[in-house]
Order: sequence, then structure tokens, then C-alpha cells
Amino acid sequence: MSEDWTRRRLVALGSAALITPTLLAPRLTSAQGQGLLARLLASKKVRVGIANQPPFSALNPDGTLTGVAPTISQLIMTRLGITEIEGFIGTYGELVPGMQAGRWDYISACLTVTEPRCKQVTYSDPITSDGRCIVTLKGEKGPKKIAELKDYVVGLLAGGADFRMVQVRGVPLANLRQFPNDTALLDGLLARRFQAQFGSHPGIAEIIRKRGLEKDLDVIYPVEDDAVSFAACAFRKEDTDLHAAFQRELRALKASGEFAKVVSSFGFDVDDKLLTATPETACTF
Amino acid sequence: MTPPKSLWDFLPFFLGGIPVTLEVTFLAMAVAVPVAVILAIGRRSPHALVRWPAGFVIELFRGSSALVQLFWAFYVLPLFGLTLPPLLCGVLVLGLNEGSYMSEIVRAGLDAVPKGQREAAVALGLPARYRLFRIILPQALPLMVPPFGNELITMLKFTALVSLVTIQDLSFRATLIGDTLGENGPIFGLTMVVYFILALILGGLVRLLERAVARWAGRNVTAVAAPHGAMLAAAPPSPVPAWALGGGR
Repeated sequence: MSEDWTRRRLVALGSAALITPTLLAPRLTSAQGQGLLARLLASKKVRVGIANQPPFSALNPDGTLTGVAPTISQLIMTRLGITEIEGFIGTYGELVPGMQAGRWDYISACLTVTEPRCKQVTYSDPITSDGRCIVTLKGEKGPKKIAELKDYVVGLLAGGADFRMVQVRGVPLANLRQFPNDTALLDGLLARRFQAQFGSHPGIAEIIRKRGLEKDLDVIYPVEDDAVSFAACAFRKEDTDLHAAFQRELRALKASGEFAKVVSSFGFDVDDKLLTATPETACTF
Repeated sequence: MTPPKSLWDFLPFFLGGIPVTLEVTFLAMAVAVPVAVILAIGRRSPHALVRWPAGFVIELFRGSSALVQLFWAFYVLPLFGLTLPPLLCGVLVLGLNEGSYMSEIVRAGLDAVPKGQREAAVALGLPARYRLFRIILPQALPLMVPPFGNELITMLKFTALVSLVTIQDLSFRATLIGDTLGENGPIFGLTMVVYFILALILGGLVRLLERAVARWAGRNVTAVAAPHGAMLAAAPPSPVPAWALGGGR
């Protein structure tokens, strides 16, 4: 029947378009696997997962990245002979899944070192240490320490380490409001979408200073029942070669003093604890 | 520490998102239109083996969240060994989604052509290609174009979703700049204005397309813009040539 000619053609084309990717799949898989470092060295290019949270990681007006983690990463990659760095920006919660899915080769962010994450990824030596702060609107009754957070509606970063921390300390999930970044968090607080903001101090402090919000907000820092945590770059468990090379260069940077210079230029304190901490000692948080 | 920056410094980076947003819009539309046509024709097929899969695809993409599909394509497919580049993920998911919606537009357009038109064409022994391009489409297409324009603008706004899979479109850059400046108000205000202007431009393009299609379909151009009464009065000239109607002999 000539009437079916067009229809049959279209259906055949359509099913071909749907099936082809499936046939290609096994070929794409075989390109991944062992020898990540060797492949990166050969292509002189690395893809990294990045968070945008000044001053940990931040954006330049030309679209390139600055901040502690990207700067340290760039120094190390240059020393390894990898010249091109392609950055993919996501929230903290997306960084690990994206790396496991092969979207980027490692996480070049100040990812807080936590026990559950230590089971999923291999960390580098810590590159920053920080404490958390509690921010509330001036004049409002608010929590003074982490143990008191459970009686309030709390805003925090989506997928960040704080998310697990407050749940462990008894804040019910229903009372948590997650936001993609510190700016959105502060705007949320000002719009009274929650009562208390809980998160890493340096980033929030910088925005409050930039916007001149000191007169509107109460910032509690340091929080008495908080402990210092470390943050580091993270690698897939199987990419031991890349991790070892990164560690070697990071330790060289720490020994030469270049590391301290970079980290303090972004307003972070560098103490002996940060310089001597290893993934093993940091993993207790 | 670097000196403080203002929105002005980030403007070039922000505007660089416009071509990305437009690229995603048009590429996704380029996927959506053929998908819509294939699905609509499939759904009208007399064969259940064609009709059911077409219906299944439509319901699958219409019925589940586009955001979840996007995350699935980006984060889950690689675990099965299929790593599509971010742009391809975005374009495919948006295209298949929008294609599913638009297939109903195409189907409605085709269904709106009176059955007698096709039957008459078959009875006259016109070849299949002639029937499609000269009888069915000239009557169906003008009906499909206005809702198609709607979908084009929907797609423009839909593309903001791809900012969640690392594609640096307008929304992505706006979020990033807001985050860096520590202030969301000005940049999101500007973003809204830019989307509005882009939507206006696309709306204008659709009106041009409407006219072009009306001209191709042999309709009176002024009648298209006129009120309904005038449109009905100015009935379209018959798309069937005089010789096919057997007139003049």
C-alpha cells in the first residue's frame, strides 16, 4: 500500500534514532577505566567539578575561576604538566555524584571532609579549615548554639556537610530549608523564609560585609559546640595514580610556603593543624 | 584580596549566556519538531504496533518531570556506560519533552482536516506525496503554527533547566554572578528583562512564520490577521488545482 510509505519511513527513522545510542554505549564505556593520570597527561587536559562559594571558589568577570580551591588546583596541575582545566560548576551535593558519573575527573572544591564522604571518595590533604556560624535577624529570638537549632526552622546549603551535621544534632528534616548558595541563603533569611541560617563562616561573613548587612543581622561565631572541620579536594577511590600525584605536589607546595601564601591571600588562616592534617586525621568529622 | 566588583564588570560574561540560551532553544526545537511529527503520525497509525509505542513515548516524556529526566540523563545514564555531553543531554531531554507536547498539536492539526479531503484525494488517485503536501498540510499547517509559536517561547523559558547540568546559559550565569556578588536582586531583575526581550523577538519571528505558512498554503495573508468573521468570509481558495477537480473539461 503506497499510503503507508511516508509513515513507515518515519517510524523506521525514529526507531533508528532511539536505538543507535544504545548500540554505541559499550564502546563509550571502554574509553573509561584505568590510568586516569596517564590519560590526563597525554591530553594535557583535566575536567574538574567546582562549587561557587566565595572565597572558597569564586568567579572572575571573564568567566574564569578564582578562590582557594581552583587556585591551588591550577598550581598543582601546572606542576604536573596539565595545562588546560575545564571547570563544571555545581552545588556541593552534586559534586560527588557528578564525579562518580564520570562528568569530571576530580572535585576541585573545598569539600568538607566528613566520615560518610570518606567512604565514597579519597580526599587530598586539607586545603582549608573553617568553623560554622549561626546567623539570625537582629532583634529576633534565635538559637545561640547548635544544640538549640532543633527548635527553629533552619536554612542551609543544599547537599553541604552541614546538612548531615544538623540532622545528627536533632533538627527534624521538616525544619530544614535548603538553598543552592550563600547568597540565596541570606536573601532567604532576609525574606523570613526560615529563622536561623547555619553554615560555613568565611563565605557568609564575606557577603555580609560586601552588602553591609552587619546592622540587620546577628552573627554568632565561633559557635561554642562546633568543632573545626577541614575541607579538601576529592578523588574517585579507583583513581589512586591521580590522587598520589596531587598529594605529592600539594605537599611540596605546603613545604615551600607557597600554599600558605595562596590560602592566606583569600583571607583564610593557616595554622600548623591545617598544614599537618591528612585525610586520615581529618576524617573524624 | 581582589577589589570589589559590580554587576557592570560581569555584564559581558552574563550577556555571553544569550547565544547559549538561544542555541539550546533552537537545537531542542530542531529535535522537538521532527519528534512531534513522528509521534503524531505514529499515534494516528491504524497499526497498534506503531500506535502504542508512540503513545508510550508521549506519555513517558509528558508524564514525568523534565527536571528529573534531565538529572537522569546527566547523572544516571553514565552509570550505564552512556555519557552524553551536557549540551546533548539538555537538548535531547528538552526536545523529547517538548516534542511530546507538540505531537498533540500536530495531531490536532491533522485531525482538523475534514476526512472527506483525504478520501477525495485518494478517490482522485493523487500520489501520496501530493496528498500530503498539497491537500493535507496546506490545511493543517496554518492551524499548527500559532500553538507552535507558544511552544517556542515555552522552550526558551524551559531552557533555564539546563543550567542545572552545568551548561552556562543565562540562568546559570545569573545564579553564578548573584552568588559571586552576594546579591541576587539586580542580576535576576536583569535576567528577567533579557528573557522578556528574547521572548518578544521569538514571538515576532513566529508571526513572520505564520505569514509565510499562510502564503505557502495559498491563504489570503490579510485574512489571517483579520477578525474571525472576515476570515470565514474570505474562505481559502481551493488548494486542489482545477484539473484535479475535473473542471473546465
